[in-house]
Amino acid sequence: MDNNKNIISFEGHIDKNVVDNILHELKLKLKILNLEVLTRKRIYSASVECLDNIYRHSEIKTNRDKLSEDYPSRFIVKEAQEGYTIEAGNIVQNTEIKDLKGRLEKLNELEPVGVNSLYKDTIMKSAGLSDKGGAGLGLIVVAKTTRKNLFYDFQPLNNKYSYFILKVNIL
Amino acid sequence: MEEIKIEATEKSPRVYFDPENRKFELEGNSRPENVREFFYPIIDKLREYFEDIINNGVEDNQNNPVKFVFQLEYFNSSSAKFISDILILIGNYHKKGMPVKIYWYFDEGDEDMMEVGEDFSEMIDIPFQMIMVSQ
Repeated sequence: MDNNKNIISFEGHIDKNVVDNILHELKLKLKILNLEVLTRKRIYSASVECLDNIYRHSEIKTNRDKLSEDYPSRFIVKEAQEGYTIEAGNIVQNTEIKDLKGRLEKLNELEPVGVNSLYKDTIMKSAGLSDKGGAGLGLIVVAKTTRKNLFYDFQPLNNKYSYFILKVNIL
Repeated sequence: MEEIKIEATEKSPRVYFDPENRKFELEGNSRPENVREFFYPIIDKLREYFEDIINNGVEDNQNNPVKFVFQLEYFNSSSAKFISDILILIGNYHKKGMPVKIYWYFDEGDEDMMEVGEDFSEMIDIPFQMIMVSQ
């Protein structure tokens, strides 16, 4: 992969400060690229939700320090043949996979109009209930930013954990 | 009732609420560290104020709507829920007789922000004044 096309490429532990720093840098770099308003905002918006998701997972205290060193979280924004690609990777518990996969599959089956109504319904149902984006609003927001499918993969690491990769393309 | 004045940061919006002049403004970026702590006091204060308006301000109300200005550059999914809470609250008190005017700003070319405004407007069944800001 041509590294020059990377806008942001981070690998390592992602905590609150790292999220803030990455987003600050991303904002500056997107400004310089002089993109259409909508593209710029969609890249930023999907990035916030992806990073928040990685950060939330990094909060889960488990006995997996060695695993996190071997398979660090990663967040990449790069130019693609068409548009831009955001790639986010982090360790998840195997017990989460079924639910996560279900939500991703459901989003991929929907047309943009359907994603939009799901967004509205989810906001209305969960208004004020959670500050964790727990109802999956984050993923819906990511799906809203792309007209293509969400690409995802779960690579098994051991009997408890897998590495989750989410890729989206923004035109 | 006291006003609310919260300055904007890179992560949180500017909030200005002036009860005397019946004006509430929310502007900028919204992905505050603790979104609940940020929005709850604002929502509580607005509820208290709307209650006062309904109970005491009937005569003033006719030609004096409460103005709401939403000029958001960006908000994350957690903030979306609380912004929607504020709007639902406005909608509920509007039904009880509180006159309102809601202004929704969006940057030229930012269809997403425009659409969210339209969706919110539909959700609470109040027409918004949609204002496009030229780049």
